[in-house]
Amino acid sequence: MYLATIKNAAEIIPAFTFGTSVVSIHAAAKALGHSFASPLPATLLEVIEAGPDVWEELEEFYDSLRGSELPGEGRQAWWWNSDEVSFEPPIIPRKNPWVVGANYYQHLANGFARIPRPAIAPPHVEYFTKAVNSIVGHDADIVYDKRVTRTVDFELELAVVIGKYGKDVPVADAYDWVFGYTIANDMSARELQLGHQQYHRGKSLDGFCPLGPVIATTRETGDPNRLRMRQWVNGELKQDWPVGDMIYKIDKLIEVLSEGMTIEPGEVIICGTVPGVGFEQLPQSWLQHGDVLEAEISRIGMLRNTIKMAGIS
Amino acid sequence: MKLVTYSVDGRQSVGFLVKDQVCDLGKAAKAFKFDIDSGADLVSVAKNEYRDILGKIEEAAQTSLEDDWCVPLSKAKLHAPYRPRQNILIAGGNTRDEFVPQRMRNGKPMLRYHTKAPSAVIGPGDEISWPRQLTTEVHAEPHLAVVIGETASYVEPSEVMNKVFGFTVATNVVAQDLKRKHGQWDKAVSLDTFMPWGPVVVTADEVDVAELACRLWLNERMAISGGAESGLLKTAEVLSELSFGMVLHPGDVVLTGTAESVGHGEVPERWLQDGDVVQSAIEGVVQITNPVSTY
Repeated sequence: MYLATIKNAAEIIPAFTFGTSVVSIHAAAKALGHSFASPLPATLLEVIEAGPDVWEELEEFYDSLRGSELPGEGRQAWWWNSDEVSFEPPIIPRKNPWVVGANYYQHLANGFARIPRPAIAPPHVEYFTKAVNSIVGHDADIVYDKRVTRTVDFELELAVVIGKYGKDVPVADAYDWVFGYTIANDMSARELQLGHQQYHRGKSLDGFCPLGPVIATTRETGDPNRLRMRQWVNGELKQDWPVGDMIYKIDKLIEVLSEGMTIEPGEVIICGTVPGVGFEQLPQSWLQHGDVLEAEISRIGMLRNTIKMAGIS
Repeated sequence: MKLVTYSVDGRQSVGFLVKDQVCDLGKAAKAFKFDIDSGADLVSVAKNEYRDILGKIEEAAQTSLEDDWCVPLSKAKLHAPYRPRQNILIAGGNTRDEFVPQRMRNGKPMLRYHTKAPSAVIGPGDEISWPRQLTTEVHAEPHLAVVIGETASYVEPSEVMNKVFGFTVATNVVAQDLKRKHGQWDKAVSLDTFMPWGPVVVTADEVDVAELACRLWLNERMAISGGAESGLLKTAEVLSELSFGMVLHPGDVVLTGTAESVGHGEVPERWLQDGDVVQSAIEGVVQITNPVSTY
């Protein structure tokens, strides 16, 4: 199933999506007289935290709607076209999303082309975090202030959403911990990222973690390593690469992250970017006011955001 | 005011200290007819909008402690103040230690800001614990922990301390070998139990940060000592810089740096080991003690 969190008439609610159709889960259940074994939680994060029994019930309800007809009389209150609602981030996790640096060899090689040393894969997984406060949803503006940064860059990445608690998760079983996948743009203020050496601040400016628009459960994506990711800036294709080309694959990322540290339902792991970002270009190029980012991963969807500079209307 | 999250007979609530008593904030508020939602842990009242009302409750309590909402401190179990809603920010390398050179921007050192997962939070007396096969180089630093009380965005250093709710102490437990292994430091400081903090959050009106001393004792031997503001950047400079571009919300926690580094600067290196007892303090304000146990 495809899950979103939407804002409709100032109310923030969990929703199903079917292509361009968006359905309020609670309102649809009520209108159709569909009941769940226990009351469905109010937020998508709480649905994920509620565990596999609840997910299965929800998936059955999703499937019962999947084949049904498009909006008819009486459905206007809970069935919309995606351009009639606004998308919030699908979840706001209870700790910072983890991000993996330098996880695609060609991105690494391009990025350090100008430095007179061979690009080598990092000897271990490089995890940093993006602030929960920096998470925004589909179609949100990403507003930067030139007093803070003038080197805003994009990084399309697959985001893994964890479904259950785990510690010291064995690599062989790691995919059992995945609830689903979504799309992240790991926005980066390069002079802060590199100047502070620890990446957190350069990666966590307000609006720098666009997430969504939907979470696709593992049933919908199949093997995530077979997906393809593409990003356009103002309609020009900038990134186009197979998801599965990671140096450290998703199962390894989960195993290593959970060493000595409990991973939790709703925890987000963002898996690293693919070649084509502005940092790699000769000369390097940075995003400007008005630039439109369209970040797509097959079988998940497309995340669109617009860059704005503070002080320009 | 000195606020705690505490429990008596397994029932958890938010309290404040009066002499040697801990008083239930919600019950006291009700007794004195103040409207405040005190919740289950103190993040719900760590808001500057409650400053006045908290002050009035404390004042009223000074003269009329009631048995039905006060217990002797010795009968209460104190907990970590709360689990923050996002990672704890750490001003890494905010030290004059030559081992940690910083890059400069606009004449200011660029600190190594990194974060600690809130899943690492523990309270006083809880064990600091880690798997021996994962890390063998664990050390601990005492930090001043700043609790934000009001949304702060683009706030100058001269104004930013008004956005602070209060202060407490945190022990920043660090796996030094995992810092080197992963390059970025967030995982190395985020193992479960690596964030002992609290238990007392003292409101900003009661302390002058410039006067505070930050100390750490390892097995009752003082190992680290210095002013809480002895780093490269003062507390106000750290908070202001972060607020430029990174909004801070009530309940967010910032560790502003340790006085002097220890462990990786010493020869021979002394890492934490089974049976150690670590105590961090903001001298005269709050202290936290935790035993060490590996597995």
